[in-house]
Amino acid sequence: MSRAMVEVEGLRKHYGPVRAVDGISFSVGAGEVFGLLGHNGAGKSTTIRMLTGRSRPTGGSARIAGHDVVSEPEEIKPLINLVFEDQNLYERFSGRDNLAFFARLYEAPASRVDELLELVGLTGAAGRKVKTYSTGMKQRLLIARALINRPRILFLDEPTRGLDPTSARELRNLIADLSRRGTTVLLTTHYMEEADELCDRVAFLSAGRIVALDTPRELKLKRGERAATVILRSREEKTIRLDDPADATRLQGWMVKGDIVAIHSREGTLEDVFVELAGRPL
Amino acid sequence: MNLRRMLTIFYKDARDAIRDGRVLVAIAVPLAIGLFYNATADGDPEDLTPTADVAYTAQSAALAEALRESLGGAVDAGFKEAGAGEVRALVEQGEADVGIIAADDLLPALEGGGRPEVRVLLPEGGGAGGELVASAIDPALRALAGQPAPAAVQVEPVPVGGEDSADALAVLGFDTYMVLASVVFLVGMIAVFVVPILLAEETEKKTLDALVMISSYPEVIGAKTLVGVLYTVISVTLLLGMTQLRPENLPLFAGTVVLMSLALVGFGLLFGGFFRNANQLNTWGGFLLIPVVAPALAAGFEPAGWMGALVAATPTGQGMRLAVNGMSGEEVFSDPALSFLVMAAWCAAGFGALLLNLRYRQGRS
Repeated sequence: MSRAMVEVEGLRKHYGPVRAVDGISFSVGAGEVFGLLGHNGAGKSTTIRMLTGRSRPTGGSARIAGHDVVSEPEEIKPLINLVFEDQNLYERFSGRDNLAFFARLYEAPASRVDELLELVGLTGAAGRKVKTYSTGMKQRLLIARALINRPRILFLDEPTRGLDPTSARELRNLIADLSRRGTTVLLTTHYMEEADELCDRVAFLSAGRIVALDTPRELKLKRGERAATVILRSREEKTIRLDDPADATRLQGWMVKGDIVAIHSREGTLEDVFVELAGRPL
Repeated sequence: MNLRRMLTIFYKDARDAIRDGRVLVAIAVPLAIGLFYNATADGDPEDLTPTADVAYTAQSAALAEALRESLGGAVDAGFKEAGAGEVRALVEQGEADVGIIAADDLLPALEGGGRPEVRVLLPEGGGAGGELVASAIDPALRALAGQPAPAAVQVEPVPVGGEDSADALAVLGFDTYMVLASVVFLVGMIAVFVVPILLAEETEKKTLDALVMISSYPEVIGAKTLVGVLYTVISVTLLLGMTQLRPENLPLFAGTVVLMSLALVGFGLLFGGFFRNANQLNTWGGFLLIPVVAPALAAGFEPAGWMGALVAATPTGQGMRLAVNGMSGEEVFSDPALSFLVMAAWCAAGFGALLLNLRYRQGRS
């Protein structure tokens, strides 16, 4: 892994007796897409709040691009940005005015506004008040706002929630493109397929703790079922276990006879892994 | 604290707030009340000059003329010539405060050094105006006789009561006083409604989270405070313009309005933070206006006891005192330094408490 852009060590956030985040550790390399997965209340958003300087950790440490989130927040602010879970836009302003305001705050050039409107496909609606935008348009504007300062680390909190499949697909493509250009992405999502497709690594959070952390492929291989479903010419479905010598002999027999129509792998999905670890689906 | 970022947020807030109907109403109501009082209330300051109706005989005409000159503006006197019987009748009927009946040869006798008879009729229990006219008869006669007056006497009416607060209505008139009360109401509405609504809406819609990704809470607070001061200055200027009132001491008046605004905005933002959303604030915030406006209204009525203490201890009570001084150009209320001190203390307390509250919230979030 390349140089760590996010380094988290024993990070904790307690609200009285409630341990929202309870000693998590991980690191995210430059250009990596890292996913935080978990149920509501698992600690994902609290972790992002602490990493973006909006909440003070109870204990542990976190560094962003080498800067401590508690003692060096001003150094971190220009380097990061966040796509919020809520569509927190100024609705009485136009899309362009929203971006122009944040461009001024981040001291970004004015040309960046048109560039981003073009990128997210909102040039035609740039002059309209945001309150007239659809959910998808607002989400695209949020993405544009989060890119206004060309962040080195982009946090995305449920970025595709409420989007139609086409818009969600476009957004995933955009995230993948940002990652290819070197932007580090840390996202939370409820969509396992999205995490599987986008993330280089994922961490499963449960009750404030990381219960698994690896690449989606490794997680699936480690935890998934080593089996396959064989469909025979008789339309019968047979399950064979890949580590059972007796099933290997049966498979060989069907193949010799030419009885096999299709074989489907029963590789585990991320959701299977998550259910196994967390006890219930997302 | 980054001044450039604070001004950027201020510019955004100033543009955004005026598009909010709640903000417009909060500013329009006190403006309308101020205009209403200005248009309907009695506009004349209380006239302390005593009045007197003087009836005199034809033989006393020269004396009446001399009296008119010697009284000047000290007494608002009206003169009526009548026959001797009618003069007495007018005094008896209470239609004249002074009656003067002189001998036929009044003027030649005076000029010749004689001692002509002059009868002065005063009603029992008459007013100060009649007594003043009566006391001026002797000097007037001396003047007619060619004798120099031993001294130049200036009569100045002085209101009774002692406490300076009683003067506010007299000096300004009820209408101007109520316009000033409307100014305080306006300052209060902006501080307790408008500015907290801006913050509550940012919190409710979570745009505040986006702001503090690059700015800080003090910058956000500073920007909203500036919006409050800007809206206050514009609204008060508008109200004074529409009522055609011009403060005699403009720097004092303007300084008072700005400091009063600052003293209230800190607390307005603090209380605004206790409400979950802007509409809740809009619903319940009216209660906050009672302790804001009541001391200002009471300031001019010489309140005693706990109400007097409230006026002395609150920024709007002291602000009203300074506003009266600024509008009239006179030190109607004494000790303006204390008034400024009280407002500055409230200002420091409000913003201090607000920053502590923000720090506490940030630690808990």
